[in-house]
Amino acid sequence: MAVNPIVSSVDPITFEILSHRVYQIAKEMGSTLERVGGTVNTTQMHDYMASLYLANGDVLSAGDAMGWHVACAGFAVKRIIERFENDGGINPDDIFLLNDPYVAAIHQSDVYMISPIHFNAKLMGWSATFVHVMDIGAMSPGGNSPGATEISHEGVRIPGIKLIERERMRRDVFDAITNMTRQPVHALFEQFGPELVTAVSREMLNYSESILRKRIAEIPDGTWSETGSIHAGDTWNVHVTLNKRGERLLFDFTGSSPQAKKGINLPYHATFGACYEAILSTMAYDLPKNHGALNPIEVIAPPGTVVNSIPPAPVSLNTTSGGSTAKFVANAVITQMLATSEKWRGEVMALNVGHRLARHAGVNQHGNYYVSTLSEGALDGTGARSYRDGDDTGDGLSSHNIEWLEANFPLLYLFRRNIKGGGGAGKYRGGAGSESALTVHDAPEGKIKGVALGVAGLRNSGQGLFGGYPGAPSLLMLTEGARVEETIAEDMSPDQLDDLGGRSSLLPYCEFDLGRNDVLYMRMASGGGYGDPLEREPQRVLRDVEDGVVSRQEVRDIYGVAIDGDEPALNLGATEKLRAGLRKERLQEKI
Amino acid sequence: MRHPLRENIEISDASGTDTICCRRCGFQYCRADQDWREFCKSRLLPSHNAGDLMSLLDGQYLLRQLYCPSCAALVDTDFVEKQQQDTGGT
Ligand SMILES: [Zn+2]
Repeated sequence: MAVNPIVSSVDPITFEILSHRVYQIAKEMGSTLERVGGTVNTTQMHDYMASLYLANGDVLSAGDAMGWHVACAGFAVKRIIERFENDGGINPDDIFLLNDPYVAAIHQSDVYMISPIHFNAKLMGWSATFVHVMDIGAMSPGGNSPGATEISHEGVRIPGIKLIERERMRRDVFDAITNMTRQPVHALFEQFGPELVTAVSREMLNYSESILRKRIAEIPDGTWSETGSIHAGDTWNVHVTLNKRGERLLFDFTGSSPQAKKGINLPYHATFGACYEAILSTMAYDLPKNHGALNPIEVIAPPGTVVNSIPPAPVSLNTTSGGSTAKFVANAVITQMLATSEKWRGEVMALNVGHRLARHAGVNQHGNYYVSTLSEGALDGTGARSYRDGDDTGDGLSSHNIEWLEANFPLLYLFRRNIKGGGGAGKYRGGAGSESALTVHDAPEGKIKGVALGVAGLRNSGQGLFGGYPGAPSLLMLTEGARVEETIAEDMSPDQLDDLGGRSSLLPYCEFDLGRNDVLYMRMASGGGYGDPLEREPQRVLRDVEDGVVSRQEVRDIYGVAIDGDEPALNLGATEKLRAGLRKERLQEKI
Repeated sequence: MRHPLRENIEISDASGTDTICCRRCGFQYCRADQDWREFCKSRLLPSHNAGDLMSLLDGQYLLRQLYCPSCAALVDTDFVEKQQQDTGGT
């Protein structure tokens, strides 16, 4: 925060110190959650959220968290206030639990824990966290149910209860969660007094809002639209038009498909949260993440559509379908908007629509029933930017450690590596992306159950930007009856799928069995490219060849670069001719 | 009014009216209130032209590219459904 607060009732130094302290508390809430978490989603994937809210539920400070959950937990706080204020009361030691997607959550597996913060018996604010809970009584293990046609199939729905202590509750974990939230805030109130903390809190919101509004106002007015599609048996579209007038942004999802009888639907607050997250990551990434960054946004989503579903529409698959697609289209229209600003055009980047992942469940090598996640999706290649290549692997979340996974679950990885020829071509190349394969190993029942998730549809991967090529599509593939054990017995590494034989089929959203000598192959989205590949510096193409992430054929046919010899060497003269020839070819076709 | 629209395309008022132009060669696509895409050279290619791993999309999607008609700068690349293109044309 280099700029002084614009509306100043607090001196700038006090503002800097206290606003950073508030942010630090929210961040530490997240780290504590990670340390006491019991699932791979929390401990290794960063699939959680921890944030602070004002007494009325407005976002005060998001830690390092997914923006859409920050917004949705704010809705959850407001619903808790409405429900309990005059009925049951909101007391200093309460903790509320809420996971109802038709109240404020996104899908039932994402459970919000919400706690009021009192100082001298007065309600001063709220802390909220969410983690993805692995079993909530849904049809499929892991909480995402491809077979669900209405929300009642997708597990328990809690519109807001006070969490009471039960025999089965672990007091140590419970205490850890409660301690991490309230005590540091109490210390803040004690040291600086509630009046000053409240004034700084308001100022933090003003600060973010005023700077964001100024940034929006500097961009030329206009209208931009984008459509994304979800393939899950049928096809559903998520369509958005962004209208920018002055310092306001209106996201209008009119034109999106009617809600589905499949769990891809988003409740309104999740669609709103997707737009908020898009703003946070593009135009407000350097501002304090709070309600101020939410105020300039308006979101219209017609009821009864995939972006504002009404009960009993199911929702359990939505984070990886409707959610990914809503985030993609929201980001895409902001990207188009930013590209029209001389000041902002350098910030744009090619976007991924989403990726695939899988849950797995069964009896592990230690004899215990388990449900967990294969978080390969975090190994997507990212999109290229206007000034540099995408990252070959890297996403908002993080992935599990393979050794840890194999020690805890009856699985054996055959390989995990970057993809050759995956990254979308362009002046700047999309990230290569990753591919992994695994089989069961030491499974007492000889097999485990899997659930394949993620934005299905081959076209849905890294999208190219401004001429850049799309990245290779993510896919999940099951090969049954492969020669895995035989290959290992021969002391060979089973790292080439083509050599293993067997019967392969692509997995849409579905449940599947993984048995001995079956291979689950997971190819994660490669990033989209940026700009014209014929404008890519030949030296960069040479380095891609040396790194093994592009094929010689792509180098010649798409990049128009001549590289000679087994020891790759650039031929600049031949490159110039090749590129002139490719440009001529482009213009020979009729319009 | 003069501002970029995307890589290689900008809006310029150099000719007296707001015009969408190529940033590389100055080619004037159209007026600012028209759809510049309709004034590009376009090609429909098999999906695998985007790389071997895209061959899965062959038959289902086509690779559509738009170029500046004057300097051949590539300004847009996308996959479009093959069926729509077969019946509707481009
Ligand atoms: Zn041109």
